[in-house]
Amino acid sequence: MITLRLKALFFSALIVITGSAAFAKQDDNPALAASAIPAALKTNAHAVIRYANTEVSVESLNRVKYKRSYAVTILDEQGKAAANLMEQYSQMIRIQNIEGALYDASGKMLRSLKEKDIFDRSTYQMSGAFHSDERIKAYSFNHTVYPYTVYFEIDETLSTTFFMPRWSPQPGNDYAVEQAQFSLSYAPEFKVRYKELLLPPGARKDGKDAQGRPLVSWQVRNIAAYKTQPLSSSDNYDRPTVLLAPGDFQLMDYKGNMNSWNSLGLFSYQLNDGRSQLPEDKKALVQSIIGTEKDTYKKVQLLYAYMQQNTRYVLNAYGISGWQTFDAAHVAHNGYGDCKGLTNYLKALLAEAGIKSYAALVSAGDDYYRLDEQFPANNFNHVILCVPQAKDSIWVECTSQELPAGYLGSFTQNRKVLLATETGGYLCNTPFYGKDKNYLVRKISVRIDPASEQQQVTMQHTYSGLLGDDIASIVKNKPKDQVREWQNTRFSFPSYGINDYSYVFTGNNGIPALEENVTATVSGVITSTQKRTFLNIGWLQNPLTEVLQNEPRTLPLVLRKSFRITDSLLVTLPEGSQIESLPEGKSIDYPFASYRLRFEKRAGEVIAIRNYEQSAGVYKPEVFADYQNLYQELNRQKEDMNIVLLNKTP
Amino acid sequence: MHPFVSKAALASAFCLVMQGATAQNKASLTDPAQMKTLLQKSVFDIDTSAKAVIIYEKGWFESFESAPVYKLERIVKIIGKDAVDDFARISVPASKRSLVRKVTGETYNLENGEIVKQSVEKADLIKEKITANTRVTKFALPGVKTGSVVHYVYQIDNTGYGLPSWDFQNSYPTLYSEYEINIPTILKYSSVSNTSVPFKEVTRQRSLEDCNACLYNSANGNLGRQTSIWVRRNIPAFRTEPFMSADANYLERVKPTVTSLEYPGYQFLLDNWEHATENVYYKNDESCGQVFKGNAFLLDPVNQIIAGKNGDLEKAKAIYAFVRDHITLKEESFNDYKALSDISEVYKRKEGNSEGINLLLIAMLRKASLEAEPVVLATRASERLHSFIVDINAIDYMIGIVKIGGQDYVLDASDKYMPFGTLPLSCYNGYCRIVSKKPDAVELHPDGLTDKTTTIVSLAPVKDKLLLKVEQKLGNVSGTLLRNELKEDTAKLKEKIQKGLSKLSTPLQLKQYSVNSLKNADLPLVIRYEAELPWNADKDLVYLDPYFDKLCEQNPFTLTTRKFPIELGYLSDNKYVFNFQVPEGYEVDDYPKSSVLKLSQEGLMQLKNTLVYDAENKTFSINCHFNQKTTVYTADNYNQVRTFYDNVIAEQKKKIVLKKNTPAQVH
Repeated sequence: MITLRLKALFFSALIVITGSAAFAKQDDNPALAASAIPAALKTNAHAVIRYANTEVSVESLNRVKYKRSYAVTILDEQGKAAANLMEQYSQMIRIQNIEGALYDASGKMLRSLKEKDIFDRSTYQMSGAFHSDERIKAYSFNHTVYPYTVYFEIDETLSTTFFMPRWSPQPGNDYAVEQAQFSLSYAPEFKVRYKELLLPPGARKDGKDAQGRPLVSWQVRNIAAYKTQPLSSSDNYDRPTVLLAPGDFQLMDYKGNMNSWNSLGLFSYQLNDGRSQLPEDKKALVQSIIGTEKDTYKKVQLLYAYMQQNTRYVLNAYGISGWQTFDAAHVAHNGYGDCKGLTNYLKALLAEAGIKSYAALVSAGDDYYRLDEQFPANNFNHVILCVPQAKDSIWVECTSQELPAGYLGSFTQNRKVLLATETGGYLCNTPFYGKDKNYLVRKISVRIDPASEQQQVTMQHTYSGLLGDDIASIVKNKPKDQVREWQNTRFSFPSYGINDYSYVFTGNNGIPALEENVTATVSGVITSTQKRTFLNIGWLQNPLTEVLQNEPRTLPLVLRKSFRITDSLLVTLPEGSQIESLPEGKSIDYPFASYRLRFEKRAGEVIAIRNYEQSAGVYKPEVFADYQNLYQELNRQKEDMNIVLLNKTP
Repeated sequence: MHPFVSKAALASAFCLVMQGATAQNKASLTDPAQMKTLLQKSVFDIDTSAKAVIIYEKGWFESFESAPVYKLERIVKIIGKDAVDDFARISVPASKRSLVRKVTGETYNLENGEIVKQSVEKADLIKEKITANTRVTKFALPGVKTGSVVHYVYQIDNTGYGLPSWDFQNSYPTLYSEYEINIPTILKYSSVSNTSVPFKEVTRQRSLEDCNACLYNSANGNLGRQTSIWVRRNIPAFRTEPFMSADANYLERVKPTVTSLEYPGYQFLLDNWEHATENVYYKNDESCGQVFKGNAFLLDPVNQIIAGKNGDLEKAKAIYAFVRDHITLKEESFNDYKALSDISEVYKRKEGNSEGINLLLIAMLRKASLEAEPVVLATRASERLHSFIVDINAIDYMIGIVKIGGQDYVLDASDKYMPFGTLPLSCYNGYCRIVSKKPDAVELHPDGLTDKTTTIVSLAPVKDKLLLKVEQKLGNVSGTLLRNELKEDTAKLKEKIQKGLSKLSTPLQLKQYSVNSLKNADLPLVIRYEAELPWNADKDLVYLDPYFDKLCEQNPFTLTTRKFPIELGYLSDNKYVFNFQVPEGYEVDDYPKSSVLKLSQEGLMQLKNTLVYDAENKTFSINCHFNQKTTVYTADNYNQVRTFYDNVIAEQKKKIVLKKNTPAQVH
């Protein structure tokens, strides 16, 4: 599926409402002098939007005019990306005109952009699509004397209302905005909806345009740049945004209505309906695969496994195929499809086995768009399959060739999705994998040999749920020598070589698990001073994410995953060892996690037991300092977790 | 770079391409029994854990009239999922003037014991225009999964200039690889092959069916054409290893190189470096030729810069500093190459690409009557150059050289933070050519580049805490790299220092930091900072980690075995000095012995660590010096290198132990 990725839109004032003179490119424009930028807007900024004007005019269901013009001053080298023009277009997005100009620090025009200078290319090797009709028009003035200002004007026409531009006047945290305007006009029967996010009060004005059609406009001024704070993003947008969505819409030859999730889901269903005819031989194959199996889950598993072994993911997205699936016969014949094609194919196979299922539209990935129940809109970039059951539905990720049926992994877990059915669209939630499902249990043991510089370490790990997905993927797919290389770099011993490893893939109620046994020869464990021997056991990796924030924390701490890690490390000491000291234990509870570390001394042995349990959530800003402190403390363990033995005196 | 092929007027008919291939490895395409066996096979002796095996691979290059043709055929057995993507989607990029045609592709699978063959339909071929001048032909092979055998062929007409080189070795094991060239006899060429088994020349084409590495040459004077066929069998997969130079230096491949194009009234010689450098660079007025012209416009500016400078070295440094500090490096946009490499434009606009900037530098040095010349080289990402074979295509960078007082100084003014006489790391890649009237060469070996860093740390009690003071002077390499990374952003420097402190075993609070200059490359970079450690005066025993800046936390050499030599980019010389004033009421009870760690007898790498405790003054000090004598270590020595680093890490993990004085022990 193609999502329309639009850059921020800034324009100069062309609006009838304000009645101000049009800002257009002119020979010299002292107003663009860098010195005219208010000092407050230069703080934390590498680029400043001086003027920006965006106009969206919905003329008909398949004609939307989209005009932008903007002037941005690049303050220093770190802001140079802001000076580049890069516009995507396709069959449904046509660029009519592009103009541009370059001004020096005083506002003197140095040169203007000519049409013939614009670089045009396909998106070959720029995206995951094997074949796509998306192309790019790009240009860079490539100026190197800072500060300078660039001006661009882009006129586009969209021949669809299925996806609409959005307005984000501040493209990034290191941009400041002097002034930006946005206007939306439409024929009243189209009932275009909008949603405002993080706008200052009074930004919007409602009115009518010269033809008497509804005209809604927004204006923002003096928005400052800011420093990002790590682990702080919890919502879809961090900066002022206006989203648009249609009522009635048209996508190529297909019409629909987006006022409700139900009608949007119905559109998707109808668009993709009737494309599940299986060839006769595949029908017979389905029957032979399921045999006499009665259990629904097992039948799904069998057919999913068949699909995983006989198809692969290839994205061909051009024209309508960005939204409408290739039919099942096509996928059966070629052995490949994209997420829609593979989902539709499995749906057809299941239907042949008497199992009903539905395609579910989803926004996938770790940085996904959280569905807004109050604002039906098309923000999906992926399709998965849902097999409704009386109790827990079975969810299937059709583009994966290794996940078990029913398990989604981190790609689409824990979010609202839109099920497309013959009676319309319905919102439901994908499963959430919490601490009970995401865990890691590690048992490590080492028998210290004082005569050797290298020690043999035995590790036995059990991974469950999200924590094991990446490892499973590597071990199942990569050739042996690459797996070995990966083993030689993933642990945090000072220096080591893997002797042997083995894996057993298991699972519990559809949640994959794997058991890993690894033995390694490790160096850097034993060091000696004149009177003592230090056994360094700070091998456990830091489960927290690296963070560093110097400025005061103002935003919440946002943690996305819940999991628990239990470690036990058994160190067998040499005969007659005399322990001078053991590392200190710790027990602390935070709102976001609990951490326990303790050491036990037994005859000839020391055991370190560590527990870390984290809960996903949005926490008050004050809690961030605790997270950062805990992260740093666990870092220190690498060097300061030592068992100190006294050397035997002769 | 410079295209060599000019239109050759030939009176020869276009003949059939000779079938140099042997039937063996292609047999599965025509013999169902063999195809079935191949489909059933999942383990190959050549590499029992391979995820794919290239059964047969052949490249053809033909050049007649003015339309060189390149053809490729490949048969691959897919064994693992990962390999499916590598062979199921084929893309053939080509220029606008080329034409990709005769594309065929088939997938073979075994279904219920029967061979099922699916072909790529013409409708499945996607022809895409990437840019105005480039195209790509793409197709996805149908039905590819584990166990499949895929076969595809394509041809590119009018491929452009140059004799392509051919890799026998791929990232999957290859059972059979063949390369055939058919070119006019007026093109003279020589070839360098880089294989683990040397090529045996055979006199009969049939002998190619029976060898591990053999070469067949033939020439037909009447038709004016010559043919060479290389055949190589059973080549293991190529795996890049860390700390090695470009793959191209080790990959099994053959590089035929044109040495001359001669016919009555015309001669273009690339047979040796003298001729090649002269024809491609020296005489090229758009490139190096510029510096050998009058360049009168530079006289006044140069005289201004060198006014009052004593001696040639000072003059050279002044000119270098001018160009480095006042001309901005600009990456090429889409069609401004000429403006960025024309020295009068570069001077006027004060911006250029690296070639333009360095040519301007050389022109200015020459205007000051200094012996300066351009140098062309292959950077470390590219294959190394050799004196005995001309390889123009590997050349990808240009710098300058100036001879003063019998000494050579190599210069690159395109990096804002590069000191005089030092080059970017990537330039130290061996043999380089000096472009001048009198042809010459220079060797830039990484052994000639040393990065000397000194870190001086003092730790002393201040009130109820310990104050840590660090002063670090960075060498030419690490200083330049850091300046390029920070780009004069001191906030980034602060973050870097803090991240380093957070890795240590004690909680440290950064109190202040300063740097002499992030901008001025002529000053060695010196960073200073102070931090506080909490000091708990109640503890009887304190284990202190005295290494506040460690050489490495983990052994950089992670492979257990190694095939290729280790090739470092420069020599490291690191000194760490630690001075500790023991707090009141404590004494040093225990500390490690001094030691010397050596790699090999000659001490190719050495760590000399001296620890001293002055019990009377209660001061403790460490002097730890690490240095290397060479940047190249053979694969045979790998284990010793690894063990040496193990010992270095262990050495810097050792602690010192402070004990509280009992009253009876106080003197």
